[in-house]
Amino acid sequence: MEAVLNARTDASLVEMIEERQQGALAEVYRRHGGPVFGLAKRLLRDPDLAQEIVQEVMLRLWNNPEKFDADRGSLRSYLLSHTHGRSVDLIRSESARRIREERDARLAVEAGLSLEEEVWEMALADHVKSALAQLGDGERRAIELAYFGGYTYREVAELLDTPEGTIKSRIRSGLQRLNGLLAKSGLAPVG
Amino acid sequence: MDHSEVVELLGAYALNAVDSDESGPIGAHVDACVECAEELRQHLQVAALLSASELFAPAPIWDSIADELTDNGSPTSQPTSEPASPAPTGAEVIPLRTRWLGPLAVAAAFALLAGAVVVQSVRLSTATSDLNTAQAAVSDLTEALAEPALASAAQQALADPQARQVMLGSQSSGSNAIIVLMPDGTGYLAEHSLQPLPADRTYQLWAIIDGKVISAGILGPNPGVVPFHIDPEGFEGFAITEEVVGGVESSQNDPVVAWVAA
Repeated sequence: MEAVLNARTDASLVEMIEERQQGALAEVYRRHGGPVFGLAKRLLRDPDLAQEIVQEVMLRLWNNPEKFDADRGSLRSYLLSHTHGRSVDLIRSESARRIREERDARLAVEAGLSLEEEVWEMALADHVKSALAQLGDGERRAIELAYFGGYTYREVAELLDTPEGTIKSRIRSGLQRLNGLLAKSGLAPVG
Repeated sequence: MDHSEVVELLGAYALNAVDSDESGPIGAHVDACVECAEELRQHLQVAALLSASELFAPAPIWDSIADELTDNGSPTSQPTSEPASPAPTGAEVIPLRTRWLGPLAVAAAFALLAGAVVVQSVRLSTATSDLNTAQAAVSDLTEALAEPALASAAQQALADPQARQVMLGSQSSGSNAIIVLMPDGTGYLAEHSLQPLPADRTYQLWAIIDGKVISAGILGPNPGVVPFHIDPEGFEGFAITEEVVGGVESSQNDPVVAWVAA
């Protein structure tokens, strides 16, 4: 079934998108739309806003497929990075200040759930949970607040009352350690 | 911003956790620095793994995207546009909304059934079976179609705008299967990600018709393209179970993957 779209590589689908073949974008959406939507929803806590982000990210790929460079990573990481970036932009933007305030308020009152606990409730694969658990508390908290909380490293430093340089180092070293741990599971690129 | 400063910020940059005034210089440096580009690539891959928490892409979002493509007059939405390669990319001509009927219904079924493997409420063991009839139909079809022709027939079905594509899924296993069903009830297991079974086990396909679960065929332990035939009237869904070799008349097992109309 080589000719069927879902047998094609991501890179080949992007080439088809460059040729303006809608079916290729539909296949990209089928493969990656779930995680993209899940991440946006997790960050924004608003399915409607998350839907807008997903739509924007997919249309960006449709309009600018040449910006995806397979040598720089997988299509999924590319899409998720843009999803995360756009979601964070929305969270940080002045127009979204109210959204963030409501979001932070919900964070505080939702049955006492901390961000860390919430991350653990996500449907992460067991090996990802296991890898996160092997990080030091400082590294894990910094990554969780930055990635799932949408905070800048400076904000994380303030929240954790820790020097900015330490937070920068913890995020970087935490990601490197996660890469090594996940590589043992055959998931992450080996450095 | 020099190399060492950028390196220090690469992790935060990968997580979109740098300030806007830092983002530009970091990006420019990464564009010119192979070492930093490689480290950033690895950080982004790790971040992507942290994100993957949803199996299915919501169908309504695709509908919105497709509407945008149409509104913007994309070439594929214009009747005068020329298909790049009709035969090998036959699946592309399937109406896009049709492509997502399956995942949408799966998602709805998952929500309805609280995240467990779907169609729990339609216990296979309580349903009647028409195994012999279905097996005979499968046998006839199998004999009629040589292996290459079978793939070709499935391919044509996938490209048929009248055909219905559904994706059977499971939240627990992550497996899925694509079935294409023609209006006359002829169908094909076209693709799947089911794990191969031992020789003494087999996958079995079930059709849910008017609330009853009817065997639609024995798929074998490691199915390729498999044809089947069902009565399309009252069709409500499909399920695939794992059974002892030879199959069963009514299953006691929960589906490996399933799809139920919303």
